[in-house]
Amino acid sequence: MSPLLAIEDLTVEIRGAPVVDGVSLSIAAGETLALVGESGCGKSMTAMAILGLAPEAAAPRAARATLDGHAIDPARPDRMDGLRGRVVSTIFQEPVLSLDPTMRIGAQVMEALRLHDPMPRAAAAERVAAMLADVGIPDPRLRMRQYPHELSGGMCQRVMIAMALITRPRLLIADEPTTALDVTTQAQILDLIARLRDETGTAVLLITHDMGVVAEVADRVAVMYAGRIVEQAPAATLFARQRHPYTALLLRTIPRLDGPRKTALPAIPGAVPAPADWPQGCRFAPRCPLAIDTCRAESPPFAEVAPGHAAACWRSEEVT
Amino acid sequence: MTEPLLDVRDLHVHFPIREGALRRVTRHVRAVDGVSLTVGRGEILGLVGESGCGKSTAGAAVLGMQAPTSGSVRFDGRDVAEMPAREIARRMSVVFQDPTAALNPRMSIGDSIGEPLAIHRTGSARARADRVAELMSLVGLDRSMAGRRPGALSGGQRQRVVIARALALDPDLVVLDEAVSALDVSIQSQILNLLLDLQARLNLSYLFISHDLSVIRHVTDRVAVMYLGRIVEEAAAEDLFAAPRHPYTAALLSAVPRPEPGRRSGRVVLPGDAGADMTGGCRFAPRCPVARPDCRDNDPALVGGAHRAACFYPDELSPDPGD
Repeated sequence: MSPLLAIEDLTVEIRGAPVVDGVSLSIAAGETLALVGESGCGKSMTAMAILGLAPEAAAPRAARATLDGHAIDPARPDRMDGLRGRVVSTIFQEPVLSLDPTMRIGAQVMEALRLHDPMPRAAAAERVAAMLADVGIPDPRLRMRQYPHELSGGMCQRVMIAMALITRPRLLIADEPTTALDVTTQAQILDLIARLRDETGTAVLLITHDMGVVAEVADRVAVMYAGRIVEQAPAATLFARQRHPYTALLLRTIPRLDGPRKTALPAIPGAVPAPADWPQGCRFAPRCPLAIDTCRAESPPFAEVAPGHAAACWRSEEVT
Repeated sequence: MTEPLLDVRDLHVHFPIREGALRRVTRHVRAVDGVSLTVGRGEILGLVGESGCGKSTAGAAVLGMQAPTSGSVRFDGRDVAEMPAREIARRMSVVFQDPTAALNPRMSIGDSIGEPLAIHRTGSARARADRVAELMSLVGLDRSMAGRRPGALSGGQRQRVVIARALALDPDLVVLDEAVSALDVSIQSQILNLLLDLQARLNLSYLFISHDLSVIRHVTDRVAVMYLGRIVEEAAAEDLFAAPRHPYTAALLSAVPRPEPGRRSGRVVLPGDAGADMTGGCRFAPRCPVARPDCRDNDPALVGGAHRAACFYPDELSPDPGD
């Protein structure tokens, strides 16, 4: 079976610096792929390019890209016109910024629905109320008459999810959907995304920096560093054994609820360099505890290290 | 027992809400609604809770930046309301979440770090420059960077600058309000290591305010959990995380996503949001999984010995809801 989304060799350049540099990924129907990395690694730009929303000046291009059987092209936003909403929907980190403050909640969700599926107002209102109830909004008929500022952040994010899912898209791109939310609200939203995926078979591309969130919902994980995917594996495999030193450090550097207290945390020295300053060879080498001369001279290939598990590291055998 | 460095008693901070054409005060938001806490010398107290619980307002009241509606904040035996601003600034400092907003983009980082010294006219210009250099190496910044502007620094380096400035006047207490929350994970651990190291070397006291339970557990000695303006549980960090006695703490802990696939079960998902529908009973009762009818009628006080909880039924909880 061909994947729902397949992108090969995606590149996005900003002022000559490749902020996304040869990224390939695929997602099957009903699957959740987590794209993980720190700020500036290119994970959000990857999503924007898939959606045809990367800036034109950034010359987005891919060797091959298909979405639900349609050939798409990051440089041709017009090819996405018929697909956005119907085939792919998006939710972003800041729900309050993504909603129109001057429009009632009901009208906004209804607009998303009727744009793709023309139907009488009354029928649309019925569908919207059912969808809002589905995402856990109590008293949906009342909420539909309210404006975004009358709702909490968690409620606004639920509205965004309702808007994204009411057209029953095949793929949901969720960019840090719970980062701005409190943990108890985050738990509700993660449960909701997982439940809707299980019920509707929607595939999810989840963009996050939080390894805890990844462990909760992802089937497969791709870790990005400085514009490239450095490791990819099924979630259980990746958490059991990392084959790239960056992934291993990302997991160990965060304090854990079951870890030791008050001890020095394993730190990753330095900071992610700006795209214009990306080093020769392996881009992680200057911060890597395992780096040798080869790493600084030559870029490691992204190669399979075990079935279904790939990493871009010259010393992936030695990662513990 | 010696007197604590910081002693907050029954602190209330209420904000008036003005509504209608006449902008009359129609009601009050009780951001902090009866908080008592202490921080000992050399102690790290964690204040944890979700957005809107009042933890930052409590921090502002400690620093004298927000006048209490009632209650008292005593620092080293004296009422903060009666301390001159200069003295508060010398003995307490604060580090906020966003280092970019905390630094003047047009000022060199050396000048930013030295600004408190200049304002308080400590020593000669030469002595101040030496102190700036000393502070920079203390927080792990290369002295040669003193002439740079914040824009030339990474986020982690900027937070080091803010920490150096907070330490310039040798304070006794530092309020850290979400000081690592905006940092990338690889930078967050560097700054946490630095804060723990500085605390031990300089015997500082920290009021460590955060929403992040894993971070709080890692760095603090004692923890107070806030919900809707009140402290609902307080204990030594080890005890609180091993066996929470308030259902809100238990729910918070169970909601933290952990980096272990396949342990999604066992989570207490709270219904609704922290609302302000206070009926006179326990303010957590409307969302509480173990609430009984009487919880809605009476407001539980924070009681117990070293491990205190504001709950009528603290023994209803299993010892470790996380596993």
